[in-house]
Amino acid sequence: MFNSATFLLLFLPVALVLYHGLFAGRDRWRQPFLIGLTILFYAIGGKIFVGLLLLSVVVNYGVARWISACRHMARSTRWPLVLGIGFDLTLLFYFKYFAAVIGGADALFGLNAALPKIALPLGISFFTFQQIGFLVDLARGRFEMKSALDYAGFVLFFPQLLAGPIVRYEELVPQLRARPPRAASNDILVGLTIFAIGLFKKAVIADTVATLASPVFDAAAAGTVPGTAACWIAAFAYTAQIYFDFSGYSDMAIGTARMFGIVLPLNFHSPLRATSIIELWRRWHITLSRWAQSYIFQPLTIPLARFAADHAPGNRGTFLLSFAVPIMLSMVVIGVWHGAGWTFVLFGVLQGLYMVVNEAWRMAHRKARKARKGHLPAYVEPMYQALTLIAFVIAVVAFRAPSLGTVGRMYLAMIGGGTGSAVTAWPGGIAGALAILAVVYAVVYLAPNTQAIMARYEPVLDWAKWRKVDPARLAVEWRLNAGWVVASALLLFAGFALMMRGTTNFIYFNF
Amino acid sequence: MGAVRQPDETLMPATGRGLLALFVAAFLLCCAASLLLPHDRYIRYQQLAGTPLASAVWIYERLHFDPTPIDIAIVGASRTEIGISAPQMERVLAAKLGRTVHVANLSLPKDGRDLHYELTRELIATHPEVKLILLSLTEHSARTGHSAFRSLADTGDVLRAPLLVNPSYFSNVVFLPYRQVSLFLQTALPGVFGVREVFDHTLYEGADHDTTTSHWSANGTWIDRDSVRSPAAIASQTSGKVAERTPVLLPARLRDYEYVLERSYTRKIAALAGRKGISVGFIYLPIYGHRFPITDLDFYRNEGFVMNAAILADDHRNFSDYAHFNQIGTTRASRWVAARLAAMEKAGELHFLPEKAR
Repeated sequence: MFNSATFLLLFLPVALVLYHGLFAGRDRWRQPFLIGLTILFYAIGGKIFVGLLLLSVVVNYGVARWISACRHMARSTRWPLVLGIGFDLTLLFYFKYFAAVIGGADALFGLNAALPKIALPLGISFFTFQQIGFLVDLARGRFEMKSALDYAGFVLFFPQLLAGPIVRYEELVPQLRARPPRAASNDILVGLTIFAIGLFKKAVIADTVATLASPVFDAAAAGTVPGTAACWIAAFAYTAQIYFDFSGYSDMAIGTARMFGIVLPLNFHSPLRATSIIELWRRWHITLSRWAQSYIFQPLTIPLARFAADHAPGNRGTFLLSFAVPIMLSMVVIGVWHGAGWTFVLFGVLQGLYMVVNEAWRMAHRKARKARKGHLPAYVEPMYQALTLIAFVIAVVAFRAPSLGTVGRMYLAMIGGGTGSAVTAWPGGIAGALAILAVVYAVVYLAPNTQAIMARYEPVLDWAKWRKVDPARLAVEWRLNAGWVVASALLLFAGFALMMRGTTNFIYFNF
Repeated sequence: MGAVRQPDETLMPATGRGLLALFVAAFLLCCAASLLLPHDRYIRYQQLAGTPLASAVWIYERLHFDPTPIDIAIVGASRTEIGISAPQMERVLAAKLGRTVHVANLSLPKDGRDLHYELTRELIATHPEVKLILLSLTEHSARTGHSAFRSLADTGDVLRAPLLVNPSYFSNVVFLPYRQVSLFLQTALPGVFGVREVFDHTLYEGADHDTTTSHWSANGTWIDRDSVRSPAAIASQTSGKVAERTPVLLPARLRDYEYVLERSYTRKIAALAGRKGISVGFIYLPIYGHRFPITDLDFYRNEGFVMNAAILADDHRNFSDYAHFNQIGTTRASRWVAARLAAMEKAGELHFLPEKAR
């Protein structure tokens, strides 16, 4: 999709010329054009599910009308909300989990059931969560829904339809309603540069480190046990791959939207530089974390905190009820959201455990932190960063591995318990692999992220809040002048050329 | 980073449009400049090493580094690659004509006449002594070009390919920047990329390389061309593959548009060969159990002579899979083709023997 020549050289230029030439200035046609463009975009990716996407939009819109009517009549919105969310989750369950559940039941009970082959509609996890969030927010009275066109435009906005960022109604719809406030050429140049950075991340960095991770995970999946060093290299490589793949995709989505005059929310803010796992998850897939926070963690934690307060179970009990339980559930949901498999459950459990430990540590050292005077010793922050990264890398092994058996073989090898019988044929050998990883992680730790590079041009929503968070050691700010524009074109060319070597699909298209 | 600044977007629209034009121009200039990057053509052919099309490396070496003459060249797809043994043909021709006739099978898997044109040009440029070129035929020609055309063809040939009704054109052209940059770097640093600038005869498989024998594939699987499979096993494959075929869609007078690549490149090959006094023929090797008519037979007869080996279609012992011969079928097909050619040579219908041998 974004990383295809057809999109970059045909779809996008034609769409931009039509939009800015004919439709952007006409209030009546701007949104219908973008909706039509989105349906075409989706049909190119998988036309058999266009009907399903439209059905999902129509049903959710109907439920939204019902919720609005209930609110106007001061009636409870519980039933329309239950039905709407039930419909969304049923669709998601059928397409994403049904085959796995049947397979699991078959294995457990020996049912000899025919396993259904169900194709996963592109972006279903994203547009489902986005619509669930919308229904809940509407029921909570956060906004009023104005029209069917607004709603369709909110869901059917192609830059973020397939893999996010997951947007909120009030973030997107006001922008879609109004004519873009900036000059089209400026928006296109800023968007193209953000897109070029994302494409470079994907085609040059993610696809390169993928060649380090895949042979090792494949060997482990085939039943052999790779060597200790190979497994650690593969785990670090896959962590870098998924980061540059998904943050690259997010940049491309944000950049594409910007070319149409729309500013999207931030999805990644250098999470691998975080000094704690809680901080990492605030900066990793931000819009999903925000979703889980708003619609899972908060609804659970408030009643559980009240329960804890009423029943006074002590500090540990209160901590367990008001933080540990909701965060474990939230992280398991995030894990399972990625797919039906015990590996994703394990990923979620590990992340939940990390966060519980992290929060307990914070609480235990709160007084000491407040009492401390002066700066921390220089080694503390790098130490926390390293500890956070290693913990995350270990969990990511479960995310990448196709089965728990593979996870077990990888972990066994990582603690030095494997036979190391599998030969890893990296083109540059182990030294080459380490050199690539060194360069990639130097980029992670030293280089500014996309939004920092584009800081002068409001690259994402709420940028004023984010720009103060963990600025990079190397500061580079793009400018709208001839030199930087040529640099952007060179970057786009590099990404484009490398993309044509045969790029892999975006990892998050599987979810 | 400092304090929060206001977005710095004070450019006039005209300046913005100028910068946008500069961006597009710089991007296009990069693309155009990449097309001009020089590289070693031997390294270009080595890009297919380790793929099912690895024979391309041998083809380049046979044409460029092996002075053994080529009298008859076979340029085709997997059916002729696997189904016609050049060494076996040479033996039959020598026995029937009393002279050594050098045969080179330059076929590569997958259909695509555009690639056959590239190989034919390469052949005539390096071995002008060639007398006869045999091209492969299938029941329905491919509507698309060969997947390796963009990797092996000269840049100009990719750009000058038919644009109208050519589904491969766009993907081939946009592949060029990567190919050119990559080949330029590999030519500059061959050791880093594990490619060779210099021909190593110890790695060369020789002029008598036989493309039809059992062997280990690039991905480590054993390609068995010796076994005889049951009729049912082959027939089940055949029906599935035949069902997948897209029938001819347009009437005969519009066939130039439906098979634009096949027809234009076949004509170019015939014209190129004709200018050099080289004969052109077509070989049809059948799929198991089915005698489909060859679409547009009259078109091919207009460009050369056609040899149809449909007689081998019904005997399952000839096939290792639905469309490819095993050693039994290959031996029969090679002998049959060689015998036909020898008969045509003797009858004066063809002239592929070296001048002094006639």
